[in-house]
Amino acid sequence: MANGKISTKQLAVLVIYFIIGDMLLVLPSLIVSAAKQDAWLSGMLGFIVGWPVAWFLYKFSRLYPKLTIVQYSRRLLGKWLGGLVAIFYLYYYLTNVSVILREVGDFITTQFLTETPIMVIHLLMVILIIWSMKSGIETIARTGETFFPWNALLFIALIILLLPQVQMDRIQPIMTEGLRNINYASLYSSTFTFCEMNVFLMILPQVANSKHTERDYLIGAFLGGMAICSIVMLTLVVIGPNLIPSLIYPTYSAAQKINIGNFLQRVEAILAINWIISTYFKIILNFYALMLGLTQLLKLRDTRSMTVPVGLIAFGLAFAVTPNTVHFNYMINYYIYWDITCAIVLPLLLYAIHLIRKKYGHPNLQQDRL
Amino acid sequence: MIHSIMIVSIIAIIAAGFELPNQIKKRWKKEVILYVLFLIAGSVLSVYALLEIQLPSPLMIPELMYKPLHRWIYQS
Amino acid sequence: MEVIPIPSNKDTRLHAELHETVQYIKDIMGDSPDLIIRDMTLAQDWHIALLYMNGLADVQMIQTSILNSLIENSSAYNSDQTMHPLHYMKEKLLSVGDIEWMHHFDTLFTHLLSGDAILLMNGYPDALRIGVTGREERSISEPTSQPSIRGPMDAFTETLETNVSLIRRRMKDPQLWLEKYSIGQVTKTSVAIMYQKSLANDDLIKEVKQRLNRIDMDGILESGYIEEFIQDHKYTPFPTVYNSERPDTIVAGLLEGRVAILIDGTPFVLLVPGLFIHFMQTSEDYYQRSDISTLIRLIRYLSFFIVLLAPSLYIAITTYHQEMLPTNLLLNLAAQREGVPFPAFIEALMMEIVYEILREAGIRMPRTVGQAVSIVGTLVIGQAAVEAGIISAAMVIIVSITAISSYVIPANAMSISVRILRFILMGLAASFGLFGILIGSILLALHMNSLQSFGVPYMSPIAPFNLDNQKDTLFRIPWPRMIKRPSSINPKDSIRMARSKGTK
Repeated sequence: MANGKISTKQLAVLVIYFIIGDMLLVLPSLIVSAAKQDAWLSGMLGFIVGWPVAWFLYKFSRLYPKLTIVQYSRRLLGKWLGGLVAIFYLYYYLTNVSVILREVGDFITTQFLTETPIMVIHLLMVILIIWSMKSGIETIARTGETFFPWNALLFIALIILLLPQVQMDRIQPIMTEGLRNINYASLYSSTFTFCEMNVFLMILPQVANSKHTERDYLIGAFLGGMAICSIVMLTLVVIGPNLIPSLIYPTYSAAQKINIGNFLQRVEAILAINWIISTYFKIILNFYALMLGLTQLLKLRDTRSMTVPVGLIAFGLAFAVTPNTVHFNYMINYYIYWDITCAIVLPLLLYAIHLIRKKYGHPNLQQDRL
Repeated sequence: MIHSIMIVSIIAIIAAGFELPNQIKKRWKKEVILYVLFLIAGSVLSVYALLEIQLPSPLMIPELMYKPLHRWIYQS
Repeated sequence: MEVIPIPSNKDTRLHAELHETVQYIKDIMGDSPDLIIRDMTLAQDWHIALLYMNGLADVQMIQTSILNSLIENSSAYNSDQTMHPLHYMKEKLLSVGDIEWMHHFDTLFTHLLSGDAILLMNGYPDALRIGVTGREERSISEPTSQPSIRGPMDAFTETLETNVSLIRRRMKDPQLWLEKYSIGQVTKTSVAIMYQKSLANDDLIKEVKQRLNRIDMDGILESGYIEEFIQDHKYTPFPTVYNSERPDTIVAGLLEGRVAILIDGTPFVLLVPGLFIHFMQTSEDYYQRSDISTLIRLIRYLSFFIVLLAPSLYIAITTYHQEMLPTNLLLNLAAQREGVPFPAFIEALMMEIVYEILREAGIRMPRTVGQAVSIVGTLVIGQAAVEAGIISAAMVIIVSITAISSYVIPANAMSISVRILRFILMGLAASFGLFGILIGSILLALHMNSLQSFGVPYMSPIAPFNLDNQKDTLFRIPWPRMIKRPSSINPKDSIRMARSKGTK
C-alpha cells in the first residue's frame, strides 16, 4: 500500500475535498456566533492566514519527501520521543475520524432519517471506510476524481439557486464587531480547514512527483478556501446573522429556502449529498493517515490488516465523543489549539531540530529511504 | 445488553475469520497479536456505544491539555 | 472394443506399414462412418490411402485436385528416379496450395479432424497433409445483437478464417499481425489474436499471450469461456473484456492499439483492454454527425443512471423523504399507494422480478408466440395488476422506464451488470433511504475505480483524468479534431493524423 501513487490532479481534488470537508455545515454557525455580521470578513481573514499554513505544510513535507511525519519524527527525535509525537498525531487522527463520524450521524438522524438509530449511520459509514481502505489509496483518489465534477456542479448550482434569496443588507453594518471578534472567529475558519491539513503530511509521500505538484496543491488549497469563503458569505446573506447562531445547520436551512418559480423546491438534498461526499473524503484521509501511521509505528507488514479492528474502535469512539450538542460546541473550542499544535507548533519544532541536526552534521539524516 | 454483546462478538468473529487465517498461515505473529488486541478494544468500545453508555470522550485529552492555555488567553 | 489411448508423446511416428496405420486410425476413431478411406494402387505399384472426413473436407476439391492428378499423372514418374514418392507427389503431382509433411499421429488426428485430407503411402512412415477444408458455413449476414442505422451491415460468422478475412479486408496493413493457437484439450479450438504491431503496446500483447497460454481446460466453446479466463478480476459484475459481432467495431479497436481475440465457432470477437467508456460507445457514433452523436451519448449515460437509480430513488423518496416531492405529486402518489398492501420496496422488487422473467421468456420464445406474450406481459399484467391494487401505477411507469433505458446501453454485458446492481441499490434504499443510496453509490464508485483491464484503470479517462481523452467519452468531437489516439491504452504511436490535414 505504501507504493500506491496519487497523481497531482488527484491530490488537488483531495485537497479541495478535505478543506471543504465538514465545514459546509459546521463552520457558519461557529463563525457567526463569534463575529456576527462580520463573519464574512473572518472567513476571508481565515483564508488569507490559512493558505500560507497549507503551503508551509507542503514545504515541510518536502524536507523528507518520501517519509511521513510518523517516520521522520522518530528519525529526528529518536525512537522514544519521536514515538510519543507519532502517537500524539495518531490520536489526533483517530479523534478526527470519530468526531466527523459523529457529525455525520447527528446530521442524518436529525434532518433525514429521524427514526433511525444513530448507530446504524455510524455502522454504514464505518463499513464504507473499511471498504475504501481495503481498496487502497489509488482507488480513493480516483473516486475523488470521479465525483469531483458532480460535486462542483452541485455546489455552483446551490450558489446560483440561492441568489434570489440574497439580501446584502444583512451583512451591514460592516466592521462594528471589532477586530478582536473578527480575529477570534477567523481562528475557526483557518484552523478547522487549513490547519487540519496536517493530515496531508502523511499523504504527500504517496504522491507521484512531478514539477506541478506544488502548483496543483496550492491551486487546490486556493479553490477550497474560496469555497469556504463563499459558503460563509452565502449563509450570512441568505439567512442573516441573527438567526444563524440558533441554527445547528444553517447552510442546510439556507438550502431549504431555495424556491425557483414555485417549482424547484425542497432540493436541500443536493446540499446533503455534497456534504456527505466531501465529509467522506475527509474521514477517509484521516483514517488512511491513522492506518498508515499505525503500520509505520508498530512496524507491521501490511497496512490493510488492522483495518477492521481500528474501524471498530472508531465506531465505538464515535458515540463516546459527546453526549449532546452543547457539550460538543464547548469542546470544539479546544480543537483550535489542537489543530494549531499539530499543524504549526510541532512541525516548527521538528524543523528546528532538523536544522540543528544538519548543522552539527548527523550522519543518519538520509532522506529518500522509506 | 446481552443482545449488543452478542452482535458485536459475532461481527468481530466474522471479521477475524476473514483475516486471521491468512495472517496465521504466513506466521505473522506480531500482526495477529496486535489484531486481536485491537479487535477486543474495538469490540468493547462498540458494545459500550451500542448500549449508549457514555464513556469519557476522546476530546477530554485536548481539553485537559489546553484548558490552562485557553484560560490564560481569555484573561488577557 | 478396448479403448486405445491416443499417443500423447510426440515421438510416436506413423507406421511404415500402410494397413497398420489405417487400422490404428480406424480403431481410435471407433470405425466412424464419416471417415472416408480411399485405397488406391497407382502406377509403379504405389499403394496409397487417402483419408478425409466426410462433411469437413471439400469433396469436390479432393476429387478434382487430388484424385484426378494422382490417377492421371502418376505414371509420369520415372522408376529409376530416387525421389521419395510422396515428395514427388507433393512437388510435381498434386495441384493444391496448402500441402505439408507430417510424421506423427497427434498432428495427423488434429488435421484430419479439422478437415484436411491425409495421404499415406505403404512403406513410408510419413504422410502428406493436404488442406482442403470446405465445410458448410453460414454466409455473412447482418449482426443480430448490435444493429445500426448507418454503417456496414456485415457481421462475423462462426468460421475463424472468414472472420480474419473480414478484418483484413478493412485493414490492409502488413503490420496487422495474426497469431494462432489451439486451446482446449478436447475441443482443440482454434483461437487467433490480431493486433497492429506498429500501434499496440508490446506489454499488452505479451500479457494477452501469457493469459491465453495459462488456460488449461478441456473445451472452449465460446468467447465467453476465454473471457472469464483472461479477465483481470473475478468478482465483479462489470465486464472488463469487450466483445462485438461487428467487424468495424473490432477494426476501430485495432486502430486504437487494442488486441482482438477471435475464436473459431463463435461470431463474437473479444477486444482487450475493455474500459468502461468502451461499453457505452457504438461504432455508429463515429458515422453520424458529431453533434447528434454527442447528444445520443449523453442520453446513454443518462440511461445508465436511470437504470441504476430510478427504482431506488422511487423507493427512498416514497418511504423516507416524502417531503421532497411537490405537493400535488405527493397527494397523487399517496392516493395511489393507499390501496396497495405492500411497502414500496416489495412492490418494486416484485415488478422488477416479473419484468426480468418476461425478458428472459421473450428471448427463448418461438417467434410465432412472441407477439402474444409481449401483449400479455405489458398490457395485461401491468394494467391488471394496477387495477387489482397489487401495485401502484407509478411503479409500472418506473419499471417500464428502467426497462427501456436498459436497452439504450449498447453493450449487453454492461446492461446486465447494471441490472444486477440496481437490486442492491434498491435494498439499500429501502433500508436507509437517500443516505443508503449515497453510500451505495460511493461503494459502487470505489469498486469501479479499483478495477483494471489488462493494466489500464477501468475508469480511464474519467479517472485518472486526462483532458485530451475527453474528446471521445461524453462527447464526440468531429473527426478532423481527433488528432490523437486515446492514450489510456498506451499505444506506441499516439498521433492519428497530421494536424494540418484536418479541416478547421
